[in-house]
Amino acid sequence: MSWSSLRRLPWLALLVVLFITTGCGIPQVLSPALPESAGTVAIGQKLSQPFLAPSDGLDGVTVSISPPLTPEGDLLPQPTGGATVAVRYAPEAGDRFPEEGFHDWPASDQWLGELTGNDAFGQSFLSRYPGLNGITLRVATFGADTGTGEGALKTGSSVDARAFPIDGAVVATLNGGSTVQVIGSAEGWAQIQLGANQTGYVPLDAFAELPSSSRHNTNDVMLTLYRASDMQAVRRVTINAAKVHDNSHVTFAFDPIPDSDGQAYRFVLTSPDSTPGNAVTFRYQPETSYHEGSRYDGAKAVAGALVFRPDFEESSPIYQANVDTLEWSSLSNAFVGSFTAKPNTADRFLSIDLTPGTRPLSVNWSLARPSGGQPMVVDGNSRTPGGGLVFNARFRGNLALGTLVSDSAHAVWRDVRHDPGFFVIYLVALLALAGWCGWAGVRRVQHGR
Amino acid sequence: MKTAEVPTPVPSAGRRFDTLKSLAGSNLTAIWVAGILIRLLLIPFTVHIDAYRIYSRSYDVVSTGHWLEWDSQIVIQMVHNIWFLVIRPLLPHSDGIWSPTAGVIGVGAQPADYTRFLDYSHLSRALFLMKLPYFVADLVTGYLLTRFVAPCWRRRVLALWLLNPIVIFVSAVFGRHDSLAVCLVMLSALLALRGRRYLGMIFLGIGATARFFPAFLAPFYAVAFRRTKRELALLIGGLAAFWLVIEVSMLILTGTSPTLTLLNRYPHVEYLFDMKLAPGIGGTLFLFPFGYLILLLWFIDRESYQPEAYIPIAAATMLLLFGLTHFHPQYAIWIVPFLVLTIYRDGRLIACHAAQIVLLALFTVQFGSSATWDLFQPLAGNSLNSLPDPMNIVGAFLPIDIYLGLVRTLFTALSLWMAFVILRQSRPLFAKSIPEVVVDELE
Repeated sequence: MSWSSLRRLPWLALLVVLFITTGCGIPQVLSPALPESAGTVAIGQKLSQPFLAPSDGLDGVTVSISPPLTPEGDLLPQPTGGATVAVRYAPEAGDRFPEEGFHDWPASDQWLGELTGNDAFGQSFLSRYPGLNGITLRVATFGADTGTGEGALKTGSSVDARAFPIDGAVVATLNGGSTVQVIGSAEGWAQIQLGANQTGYVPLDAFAELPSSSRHNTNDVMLTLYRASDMQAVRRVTINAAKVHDNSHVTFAFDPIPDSDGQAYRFVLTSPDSTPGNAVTFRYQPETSYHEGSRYDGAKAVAGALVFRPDFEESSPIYQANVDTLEWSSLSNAFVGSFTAKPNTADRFLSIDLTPGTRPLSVNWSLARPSGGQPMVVDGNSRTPGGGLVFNARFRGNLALGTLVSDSAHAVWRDVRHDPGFFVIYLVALLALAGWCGWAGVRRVQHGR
Repeated sequence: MKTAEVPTPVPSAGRRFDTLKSLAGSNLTAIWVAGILIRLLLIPFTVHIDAYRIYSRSYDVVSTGHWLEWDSQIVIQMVHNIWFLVIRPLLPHSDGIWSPTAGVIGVGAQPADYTRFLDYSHLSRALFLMKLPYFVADLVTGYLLTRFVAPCWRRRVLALWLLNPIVIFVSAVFGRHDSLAVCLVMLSALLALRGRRYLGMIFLGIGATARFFPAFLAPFYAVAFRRTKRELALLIGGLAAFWLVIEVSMLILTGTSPTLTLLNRYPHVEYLFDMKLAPGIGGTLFLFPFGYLILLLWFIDRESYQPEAYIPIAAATMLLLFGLTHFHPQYAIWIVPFLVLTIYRDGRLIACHAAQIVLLALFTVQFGSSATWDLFQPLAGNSLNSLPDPMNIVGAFLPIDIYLGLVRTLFTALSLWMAFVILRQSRPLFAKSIPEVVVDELE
């Protein structure tokens, strides 16, 4: 191999890199290898495994299913009896928005003031999924549900008191008609005193008589959703404050927006008719880790974020197939499905869903959960392990080369501005060395070496 | 007793590449400038969290005055502590950038600490000053290497070291301190070859306490440079005494044994036993200890040596070490210096080393983003998060265990082959002496 042909190698390598990075995208998988199986689990009705997609261009899935085999170890015809595998967006698994767990009410979060007159509470956000159909917020009515004091349960059947509203564990069973001490309310449930150090929650509609409330909120609260790019209103929802519960979640539901995927929006809460003493308020985080949008007070961006979560309609699968039609890989003992690359999957929660066919379906599970940290959920099997499905996903996304270059240039420029003294010395040294190299090169050419 | 004349091994001209002839004919200064320029371009913009950890510990030591707190890598930590004392005044408002937990075993520097460091307004200056000792060590080692060979070969030896991607990666990109110990070990070898064997032994000892890789060279050093059996005992005793001084001093000062700390707490020791055969009920055959002992016994079995035999046997030992143990890519710099001194006249071996470099690059993939993209965090920041983990890219093409196994197998095979060729070519340097009667007959 001659020196001149060696000199062409870097250019060839550069061409290959450019070809890969611009034309074909970078292929990658969710995890380098299928996770090690810890056992099998039978699927009753459906198995869902949410995962956080690392890239755009989902173009393949590998699922480790234990199909029945012939005595010779071969696959039976129709090995899963028509089981289906589907991949869909799973916005419900996402936790990127400033809405903690349903029952978590951190003391660091605070209530805004009453939403009255010309007040406008706003929040911008990035929608990562199609079918945006609502915004859920945390609302308070200043004790409009009930006052504090003695309340009487309806006569008749007994009532369970739960540790938390709606789905908390039952902590006591109260006889119908009994009298209880009401100390507050949340999510449409009254908080009652059960003992010296114990409280519980009972539905408000289980009471025949509640302590009278100090106020009644009667005015409409309006949420207007704007497209952030041109601030054009795309949805408007009105809820009367009388229908809102104290210390609760409220969802402003609207018709789904099919193309909401990747769009930036801003919602604004107003209640022009509300007055002090007849108004609700909303919860916010004074300090937030949410950086995909800003909180607004009127038209002005302010610190923190409203405690909110966008809601999405269940979308149709972005990929669906009969497992029996997939390729069986004897190398990994798994079914492999390949399909046209799907756009807009990066940084989104997807869910791989398996539904049994006519035969019982057993899948392998692993102690390791996939990216995103969510466990698999098996409907119809109460003894689901807390691990993850043994599966993999393949992507082919484009490299954000431009972003990398511009970020690098920006970082260098930032460093130069912060530390000009160092960079002056540094550049002088570099230029001196580069100048010497150039000079030496010219001399070599001149001397014909 | 007479011994046979030892000829200097000269590789055949056919093994040399035209490109290498051209390289050998190039200007020595150009190589220095190119090596310095490449490093200067990389040093202020790349780093691995390891460098941050060791300097965070230095900050802790300098701030609290507990100079002997980090007892397991005491020598190398002490060097950094002293250097940190020098550069600290040059880093304005830097007290908040270091990790308070870097010196806590089992905890280490936290990601939030490292993010704070990467956000430092004088980051480029900090990285330059932090890596400056490694940069200087690279240059000094380059100079030392040129002193081992005849002037006509110095350019090539210098190029093989200073422009070596492994050396550039470890010292300039990764910001790894191994180049300091490499420099000491090469200084030790040069001194020994020039007759200053005891001084060389001290430098080798310091190098071995800084990084444990040179410890594997110590027995070969003692055997190669001894003139009499008494001297051999003295050299081995000297090395043992050096270790004992460090050990006892630390035991008295801190109450803990550096050796036991190293053996008990560091996974790197387990790496030495990573590759093994399990032949059956009889137990396990650890490949590196097995190969190392055979090499050492073979070397001891030679009865006549040129002191120069130390260079090829050291190169072979390092090839054996990295061929038969698990290692992190930043340690690979240890393969290079002795190898350079044994392959510079053989184009075929240089080509093998180039293949080694490629395989090492492929091998590094298994350490994921932390040993690849993340090194450029000072430059590209969070946008690097958009890059897939290299393992996930490989996994899209072929099963990862096959890939890693294949790369490892090729690297091991190549390294062992190179060790074999180096020993074969250098055979006259440590040929077993020929009995006098045979020499007489030959004459």
